[in-house]
Amino acid sequence: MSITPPSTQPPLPGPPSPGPPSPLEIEEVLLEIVLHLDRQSLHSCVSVSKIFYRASIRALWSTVRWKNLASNSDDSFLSQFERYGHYAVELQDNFNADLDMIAQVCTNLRELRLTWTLVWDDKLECILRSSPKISRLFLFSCSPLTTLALSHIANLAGLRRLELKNYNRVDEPSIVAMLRSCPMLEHLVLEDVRLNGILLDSLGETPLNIKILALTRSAPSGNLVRNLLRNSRHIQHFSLARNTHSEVSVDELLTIQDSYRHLSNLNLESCKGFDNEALHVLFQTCSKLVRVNVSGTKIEDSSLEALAANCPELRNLNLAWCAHITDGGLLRLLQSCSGLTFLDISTMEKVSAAIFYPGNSWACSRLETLISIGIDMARPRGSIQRNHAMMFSQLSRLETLQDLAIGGTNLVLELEAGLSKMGQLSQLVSFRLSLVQGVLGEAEIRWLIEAWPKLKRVKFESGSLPSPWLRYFRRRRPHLVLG
Amino acid sequence: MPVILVSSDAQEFKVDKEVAERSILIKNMLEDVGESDSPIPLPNVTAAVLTKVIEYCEHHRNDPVQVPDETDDPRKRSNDIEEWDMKFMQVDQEMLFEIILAANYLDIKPLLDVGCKTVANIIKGKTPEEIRKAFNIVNDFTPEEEAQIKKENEWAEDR
Repeated sequence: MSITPPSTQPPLPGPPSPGPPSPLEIEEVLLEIVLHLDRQSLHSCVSVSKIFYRASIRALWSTVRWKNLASNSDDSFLSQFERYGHYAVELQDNFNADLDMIAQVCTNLRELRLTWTLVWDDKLECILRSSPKISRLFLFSCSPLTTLALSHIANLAGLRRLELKNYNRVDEPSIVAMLRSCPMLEHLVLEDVRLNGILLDSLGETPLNIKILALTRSAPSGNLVRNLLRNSRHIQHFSLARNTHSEVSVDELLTIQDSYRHLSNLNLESCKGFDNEALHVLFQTCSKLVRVNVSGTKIEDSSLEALAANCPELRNLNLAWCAHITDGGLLRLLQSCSGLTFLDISTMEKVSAAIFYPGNSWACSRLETLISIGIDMARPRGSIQRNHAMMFSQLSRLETLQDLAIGGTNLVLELEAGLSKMGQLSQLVSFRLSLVQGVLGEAEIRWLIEAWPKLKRVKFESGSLPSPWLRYFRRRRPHLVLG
Repeated sequence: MPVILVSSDAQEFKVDKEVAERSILIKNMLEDVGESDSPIPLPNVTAAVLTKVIEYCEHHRNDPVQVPDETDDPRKRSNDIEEWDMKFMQVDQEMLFEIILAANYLDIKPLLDVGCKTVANIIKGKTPEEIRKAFNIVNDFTPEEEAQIKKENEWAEDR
């Protein structure tokens, strides 16, 4: 569009000298400011004023996103599209996108995201051919694509990040060709990609630069995992999440001892194919682990001990649904891992309130998030109320806690059991109460409303807070997000 | 050797050379002038603002020189303001603007950056009208221009 000069009305007698100019009237400063904005805010900025328009229009159009929109063919859209160039294009749920037009107009793309888009191998080839500098490519649920598309992707010599999701037709030769011709690739995600039957033996010795590797819900064979890992000496993040049935042996995981020198994030969520021994060896090898997710695995106390003993930098640990961990094993972790900031110990079959024994003081004094839903409060023997008293007392010592989720069928919040001790959690920002049965008492609700001054979010199980109290809660703490 | 800076309202500030040289403008001036103890006049900066700017430079005196980002992503993030800087920027809008102007004039890139991020954070999530209101900006578009802009940029609307 063209900006017309200011209207020719006679200037009003302005206010007396307004002091120094606003930095928002200096275009170069404004250009710096808009670089920090997201698309929504940029979209607001273009209609604020002329100088705002000039400063933000380019940044807005650098990442073009079509979602459910047929305006590709709109003339004014196209002319803008051509004028401002673009850095990244994202098509979402846009079955009939004019991919030829994109191939023709976009010649300098660095990033391309296609989600639920009807794209065929040859169309993708055209787009990639016009923008050979693409470094980030995301192809999600683009069903017509076949393994041939991978050979077109292989032409992107500068590719750094590739994510394929819901992609059924891949074969070994195209994966190997792509890995060989994209030496810069450092972030590879294959999710819901049918990898079963692919061994990747033909990859041979090909040094890869991969730092982040996720093979999620793709049923990779142990052989494929081994062939990728032994070539990826710089790997930092590795995920095999939700490969419930993948059989990966210790030998396949530990092809080369020092291949995990840099591994800091490990996600093995729901990998039932790993036995405790494999995990044990893994934790003894990877001493740089910071974030570990072993939820829903067969991990036992001995591996947990190896993790606690061998990984001093561990900060983030998810143990939910680990049915083999006992009170003793979990306690040894709680008493030794002083650096933990995130811990999920929900729904662990064997874990009881014994972990809260007053004699066993927890070492994790830096914990910010604790999720412990479904701990059996009826065990150890003795009164449920005493177990609760132990829990409140132990939790109240976690002074850095910001996010707490507790709950379970036999959990009750009662002031009589010492709930008020939890008032010591002065940093608490978020509190969730799940899966509790019954209704909270009046005195307890009144206490909860006032308990934590920094609280911003609170979520109760439906039914535990009767609706008149919900309204009362809203009135007393109007700024709280009440789930 | 300390350097003497003179604000627009004629106040003198004695600061370490290393601190003063956080400003590329002053650094270049000192290099041009060579060894000299004559005061440096800063006619665009008041004493109140200069005090703040010096406070910033003192705190960051040992920071490594900023290297331009290697990544090819032009988008920056604004949620990465250091805690000290965040507190430092908790000033009224007039002072915030004056700090940005001073950082721009004195060529102190990291301070300009923090200032711009702070303004970006104010803009975030606001409608055009709220932005105008927050910064006292006059809408200088004609209704036709406004309609045109709305139409051309419709794709970027949240939906």
